[in-house]
Amino acid sequence: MTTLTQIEPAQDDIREEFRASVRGVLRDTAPVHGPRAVWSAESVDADAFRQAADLGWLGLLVTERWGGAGAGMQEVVVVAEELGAHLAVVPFLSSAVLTCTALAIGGDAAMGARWLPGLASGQLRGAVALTGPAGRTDPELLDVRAREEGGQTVLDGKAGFVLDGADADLVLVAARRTGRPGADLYAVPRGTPGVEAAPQLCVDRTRRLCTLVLNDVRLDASARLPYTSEAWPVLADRAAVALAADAVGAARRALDMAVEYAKQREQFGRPIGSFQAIKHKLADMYLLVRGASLAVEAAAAALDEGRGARRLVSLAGAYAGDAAAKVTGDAIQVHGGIGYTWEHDCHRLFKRATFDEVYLGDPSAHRERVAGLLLDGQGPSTVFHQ
Amino acid sequence: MTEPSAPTRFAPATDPDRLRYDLRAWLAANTPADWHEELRTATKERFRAFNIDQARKLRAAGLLATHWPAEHGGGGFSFREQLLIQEELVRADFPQPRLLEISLAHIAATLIAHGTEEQRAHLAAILDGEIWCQGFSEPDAGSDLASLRTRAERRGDVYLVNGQKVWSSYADQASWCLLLARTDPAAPKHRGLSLFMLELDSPGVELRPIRQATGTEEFCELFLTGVEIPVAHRLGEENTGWRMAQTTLAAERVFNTLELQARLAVAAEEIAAQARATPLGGGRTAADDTSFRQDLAARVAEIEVLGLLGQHLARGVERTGEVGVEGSLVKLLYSETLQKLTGLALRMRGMPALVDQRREFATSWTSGHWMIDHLKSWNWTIAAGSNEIQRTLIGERVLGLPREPQ
Ligand SMILES: Cc1cc2nc3c(=O)[nH]c(=O)nc-3n(C[C@H](O)[C@H](O)[C@H](O)COP(=O)(O)OP(=O)(O)OC[C@H]3O[C@@H](n4cnc5c(N)ncnc54)[C@H](O)[C@@H]3O)c2cc1C
Repeated sequence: MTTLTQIEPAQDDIREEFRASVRGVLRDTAPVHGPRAVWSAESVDADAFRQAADLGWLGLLVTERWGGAGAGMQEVVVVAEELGAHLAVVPFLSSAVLTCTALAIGGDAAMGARWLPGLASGQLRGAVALTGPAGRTDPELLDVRAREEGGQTVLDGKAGFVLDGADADLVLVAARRTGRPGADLYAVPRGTPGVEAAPQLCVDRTRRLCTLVLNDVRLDASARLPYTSEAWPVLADRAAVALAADAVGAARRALDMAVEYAKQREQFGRPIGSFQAIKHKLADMYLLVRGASLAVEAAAAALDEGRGARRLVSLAGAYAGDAAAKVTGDAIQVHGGIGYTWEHDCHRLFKRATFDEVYLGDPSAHRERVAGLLLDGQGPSTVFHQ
Repeated sequence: MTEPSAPTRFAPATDPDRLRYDLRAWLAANTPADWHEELRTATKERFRAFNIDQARKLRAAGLLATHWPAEHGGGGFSFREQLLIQEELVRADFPQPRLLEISLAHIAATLIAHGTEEQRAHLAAILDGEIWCQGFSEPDAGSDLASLRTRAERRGDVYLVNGQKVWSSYADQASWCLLLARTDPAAPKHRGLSLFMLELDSPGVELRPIRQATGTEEFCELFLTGVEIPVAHRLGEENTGWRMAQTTLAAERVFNTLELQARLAVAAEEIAAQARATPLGGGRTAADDTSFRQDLAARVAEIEVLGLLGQHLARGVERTGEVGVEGSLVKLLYSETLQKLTGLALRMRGMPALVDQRREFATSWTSGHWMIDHLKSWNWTIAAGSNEIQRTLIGERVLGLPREPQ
């Protein structure tokens, strides 16, 4: 099995080996087939999480200095795509991608030393609270406010749709400061007085969301990430690409299931895959999955290499979001009645892809950015509009 | 102006403005408050009681079964009046008795067209809240319904029935089932089927609810083992079940569309209102978003066209009793407009639309829980002849294209 320390960036065959190893691990640990809870979120796939930690997936974006793999987004999208395909409940996006990125770029050495080794090893879990009750990342729609008082920072307000926030050891909370544009991130460790988490049951049961209510939360002045403004665009782009990769994974799995079913299911004395209506639909789905997967890889490579990333990130976000919605929806259609049952995974993949599309931005924001680049010679610098 | 007093019973041949005015007064007085919240957490029993209650209210006011002929206890309203009544019920958000949909539409139409005097006694029972389900599909007979294998063998005064049905909506709430079964296995597949009225508490009937993708249990599996159905409960002649199922049911669907269309129109207005209240930042709301505006306008055009098409076809049904092959157009347009509209609404709302409201029951396809509504739209693109099948029908029967290889 390939471990991360062996990975050298830009080596395709090694990355394929890595993908095979990720797949192998998730096949054995993530699929929670069988009766699943109806009115509660699924709990973390503990075995998959432990393996993810042991194999170094959680520290992909953390430098070796803090115990990470010092890898990049090209490795992240491999893991994210497989997590999506396996409907895995592993706090990867929240902790390994978003929290680690924010700390690595927006934090200082002290923060890095305090949190990154634990996050990279999986001993600690992080989450980010980037949205308010509206579920959008625009700073003016945030509800949490920060003010200075007697050398301390005081946070008040409500964050919504915080992924994996309820049991995180650290939540990075976005807050506005009166009279200042944009928003800052504040490190709020678990157990801080005045913080209350309430679960929000997501239609996608593989996502554990919560609201965080902050009531007179007092933090050291050092809790503010000093380089937040540098972190925003990186955070936005990495989030978009990792979510797109997860969606591609869900779409790929939905396609595989639909193709398999179309070969087996017979109506009118023939496999339904022999009907052109179904065959053409599956061919279109395949094109979308292939295209989205390539777009995501290209965006990840551009981010790692720091060239032309803005455009490629948004192209990937727009294409993959639309593609995954279409493919997972069509997979239900191809399955007929059985695809509309709770026992079947079709709806889980559909809901997962929808979450990936809507969370922290959506294809229309990405299209807007591409249009801006094309028509106006420039666009907003990130899809977060921070 | 003084408050209008609502009439207690509506009748045809009133002037339409007056009818609308009176309906509004009646609806204001009779639409239950907070029914959405009540149904959200209701038990199956409570949902059933609620449906029957609503049906009673409508019946007392002469508003149940507005399209049945008066001689069978229906409203006998003109086509225009029916449209108007549907529109007002929908606009007032009056909860319609969904559990009685199949009874009031499909079963009633079949009984009126093909039932014996004795069988038509069910019409009165339906007005009193008798719930029916439809037992057509089987595990191996979905799109190819005519290949179904549930057997009904004649034994003197009864048929002995063995087989399995699946996806039967609300069968666990129903007392009767409209059953399609094979009576002549030797005949070509469409010519050996008969329609039956199956009483669901007959010995040998076993029922298993199936959980849907939405999380709630709405459809059921039905296992039939040595079930006896009296010959008197067969509808029409033996082995004519397929034709009855095709014509009567297709015609009924057109009438259903009128209500569905009104609901879509109201949903589009609701989505517009929500867009105005959905902030995007920079002082803008979703209603300022050009791409959303364009999409919503395109959906509204589809909804209008659906209304025109539905009215056109329904008038044809009134004249000839049959809908003809163009019924497929209505099904395609409704289901795909519903799918696109609910998808648009959920993307406009964003993350708040993904929070599960844990609703056990809803009485419409546009409940405002847009993610669940969106998922439910697949019910419409799959069931009642999938959209792939409808497109083939349009190609072959409307456009006269050569048939697909079978
Ligand atoms: C929510 C829901 C409620 C329902 N309620 C009822 C009910 O109350 N009573 C009842 O009897 N049934 C009910 N049904 C069943 C419904 O009518 C069937 O699901 C439908 O006929 C499709 O059959 P199937 O599920 O077996 O899919 P299949 O027939 O196996 O179809 C699978 C896929 O193959 C496609 N396909 C099949 N044949 C062809 C072809 N010749 N050309 C092109 N494409 C083809 C279909 O379009 C579909 O995409 C319900 C279904 C759902 C989803």
